[in-house]
Amino acid sequence: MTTPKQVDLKTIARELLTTGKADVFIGYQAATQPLTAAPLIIHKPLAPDAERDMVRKVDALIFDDRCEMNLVNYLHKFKDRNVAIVVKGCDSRSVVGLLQEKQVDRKNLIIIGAPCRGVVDRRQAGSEIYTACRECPVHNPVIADYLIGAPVPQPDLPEITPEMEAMRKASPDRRWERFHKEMSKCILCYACRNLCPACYCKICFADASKPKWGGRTDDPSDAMMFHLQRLMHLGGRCTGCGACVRGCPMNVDLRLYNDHLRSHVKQEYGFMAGMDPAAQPPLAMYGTDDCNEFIR
Amino acid sequence: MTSPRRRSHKIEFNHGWTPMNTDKTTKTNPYIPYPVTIERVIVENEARDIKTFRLVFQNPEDRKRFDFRVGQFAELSLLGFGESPIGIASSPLDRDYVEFTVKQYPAGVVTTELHNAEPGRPMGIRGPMGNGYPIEKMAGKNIVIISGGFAVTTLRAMIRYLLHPDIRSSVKNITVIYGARSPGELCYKEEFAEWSKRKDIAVILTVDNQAPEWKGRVGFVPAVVADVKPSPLDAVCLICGPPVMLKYTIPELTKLGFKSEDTYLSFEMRMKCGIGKCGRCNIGPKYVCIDGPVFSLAEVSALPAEY
Amino acid sequence: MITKEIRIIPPAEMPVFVGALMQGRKVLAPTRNDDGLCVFAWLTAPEHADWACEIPRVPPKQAFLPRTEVLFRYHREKGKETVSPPAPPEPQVVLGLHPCDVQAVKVLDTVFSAEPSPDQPYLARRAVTTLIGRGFADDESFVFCRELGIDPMDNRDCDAFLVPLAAGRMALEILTDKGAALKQAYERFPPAGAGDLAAIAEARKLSAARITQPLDMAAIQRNLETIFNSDLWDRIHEPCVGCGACAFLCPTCHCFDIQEETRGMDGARVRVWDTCQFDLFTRHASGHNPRTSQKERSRQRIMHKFSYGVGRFHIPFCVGCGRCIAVCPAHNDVRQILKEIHDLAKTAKPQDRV
Repeated sequence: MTTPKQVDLKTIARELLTTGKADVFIGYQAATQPLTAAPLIIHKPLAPDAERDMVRKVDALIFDDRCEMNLVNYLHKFKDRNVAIVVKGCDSRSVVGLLQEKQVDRKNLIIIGAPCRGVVDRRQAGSEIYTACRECPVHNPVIADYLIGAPVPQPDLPEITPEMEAMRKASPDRRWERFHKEMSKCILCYACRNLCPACYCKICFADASKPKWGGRTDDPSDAMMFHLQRLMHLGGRCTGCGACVRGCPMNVDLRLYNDHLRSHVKQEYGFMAGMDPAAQPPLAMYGTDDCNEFIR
Repeated sequence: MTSPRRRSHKIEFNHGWTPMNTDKTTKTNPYIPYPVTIERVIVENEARDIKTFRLVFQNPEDRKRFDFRVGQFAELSLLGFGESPIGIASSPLDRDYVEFTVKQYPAGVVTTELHNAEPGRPMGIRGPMGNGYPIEKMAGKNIVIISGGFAVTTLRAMIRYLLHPDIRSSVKNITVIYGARSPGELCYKEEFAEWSKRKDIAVILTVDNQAPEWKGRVGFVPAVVADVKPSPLDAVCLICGPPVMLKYTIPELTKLGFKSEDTYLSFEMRMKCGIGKCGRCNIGPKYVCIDGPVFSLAEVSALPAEY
Repeated sequence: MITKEIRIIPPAEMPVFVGALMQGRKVLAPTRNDDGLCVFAWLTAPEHADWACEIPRVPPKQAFLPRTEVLFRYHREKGKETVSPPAPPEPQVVLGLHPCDVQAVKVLDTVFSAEPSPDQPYLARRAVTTLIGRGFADDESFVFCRELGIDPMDNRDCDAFLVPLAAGRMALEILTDKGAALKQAYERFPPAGAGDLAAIAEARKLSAARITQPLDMAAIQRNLETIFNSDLWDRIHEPCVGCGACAFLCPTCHCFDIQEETRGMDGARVRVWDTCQFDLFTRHASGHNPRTSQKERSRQRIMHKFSYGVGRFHIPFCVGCGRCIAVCPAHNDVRQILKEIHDLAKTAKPQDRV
């Protein structure tokens, strides 16, 4: 991969849209609530009088520590179009994931990498960055055509966080109590699923009626079934970007369980999702040298 | 079953829903179905995925409460499986039973289970729901009925109703054009054969594709309409069929001079509650389950194209 | 609304009042959960009511339209099926409703009591509910009820109403017979004096003066009729991810699904919250879906709230509580959409109509 070129965000956006190299530019703009940024989707101008509108929108582009959404989630709305997209380190891993699974074509993508020190937690009034950011192993994008900032230092991280360590050592009763408490908050709005770039199935298992994989009542078992099944579908594919946790309107701590599965995949398969476009998620493929000892 | 001296069943309903008995609605739960039993199952077509179910009410008073107009529908309930909104295929004057003709969809939980059911199986129905066909506008008119495929069910109810001795004189000429993909896919074969022999109704059957034993017309419904040229004078047209049939037939009717206020069709829509609460069948300011499923073409053109 | 009487509750006595309300009744009140999120929840102890909450995240519609409601239970045997309706609901109080949430209850009442089939399960719960509203002098940044003409100090459509006074005291206004039936809970508190009455009137006057330029909801409805096919909807749907957060947490959204919950030969037919934002909402068994993409679904949400609801029931299906703004994972803001609709109507073309 050639070294990505350092550019200014608004300049590159204007250039890509005016020359028509990008049909769509996906970035961030300030949102109305404090410490939040919303997606800004700009289409290349198709008529002369649309040019003014495009310039106005480009001027609204931002990139700072409010930009918490994973914009890769929107790529499926623009299949077969040339898309330029702003990605943080975590988001860039989602791009790699989609490339691995052949959901996007590299030649249709112009990746604007944004080195990131972390996104502020608006629920804590901006006093801290999100847990996902504190534990992030990729502050600098793993794949990019351009960069809109200088690379940032990558802190050393423990193999397993203290919280995960404590949870693994806890008794089954304590773990069940925590799981039950989190699941009882869930209202099955599916924001987590709809925000996740790795959840791109046209018809989700949760919407199937033949067979009906789970109910939608307020019994916690229905939320548990939804999340357990979704987690298994994400096994080896979840990058830990945290978009699901940040978008949940009920503050369900999904990350604890995603992280648990991710660290197991790392342990058992030595694999981290979304790092190398040529790699294959271990639970999505099989090889002749796969472990067979459990088959008797 | 006919009684010797029966009062004429007058056509004087209002266009619009029939208010349910308020005693029932304020005291009872509109989500609890009437218990019925399947008395008879008839396979209507060669592909064996369209069946007519004859249902009898377990409590005879429920049949009186289930006082319906032609063109209304009901939610067929199978406990443990769910409900499905189906047009009523029998006439209100068939007093001892109610019939529904149901197509089985592989994706459908209820229709699949229903197609496995046999006579004697208990089930439930909720209703009647919807507005029904505009009977009061049809009085004294020539009636043109056009249908394609499986959508014929509520129009079969209409034909049964209009041909009843007490009702027949309320309308003038009746012309029916009904087409299916092939002879085996025509529904209600015996009834249509009987009606074809009558002098007080003109029945024109057609199939899309020629078949060896078929001696009748071959041609798509829109082409047959253009050929038969039913007159729009003093006429009300009721048309029901798959979207592609409607798309090509309605322009033919317009060419013949049928007015959009006098042409009615019946919508299919995903429904759940059937009583205008769950929001699923909302189009524009209307609920298909209350303000429809029968709409005139004039009303349809004022609705968003979300059906 | 004619006030029957007014009592003054000191801050230290609020738990006593709430505890008395809980005698023989369920009480739904704002509470704060372990994560600090404020939600309307059924109280297990009077101290759990959190008076610092303004707009609890989960709205009070759950008192009449629970997220899951048993419509009836059934038992099946070969050749015979029996159905039993659920037990009648117990008396309940919804306490601390912001006036916009009270108007949302009115929207739900309008829909669920409409002919031809009043919704008996909803109406049964509604009939045994006493609404105690609460006034607010200031609003969180996402609340925009004033722009819809709803005054956060207004006590209309409540059975009783709490007006905040100085030093944490609350004036409890008893407004209806249902409110008066709570006598054993409030009779121990002193009646309002002349000073209190003046303070209440002053608070109301100040609040009413802040409603200067409400949005013209009738004009918005007319505007929406002219822009059904506008490319506004192409833009609006793009950031929307099509989840149910806005609809589930909206106090007026009421769409539901009916499902079976079965175990062996026993079960229940239940209704559960649903939303037009899910693609399954309108999908036929044949696979045909009248609203195939998020564009149609996002348009439907706005149309149903601001056009169809007004057209059919003469009441907008939005009370400006702002929950949708606070929870939207894509940070959409309905106020911006309303502004665009207002501006766009000026340049609409005839072909944009339905």
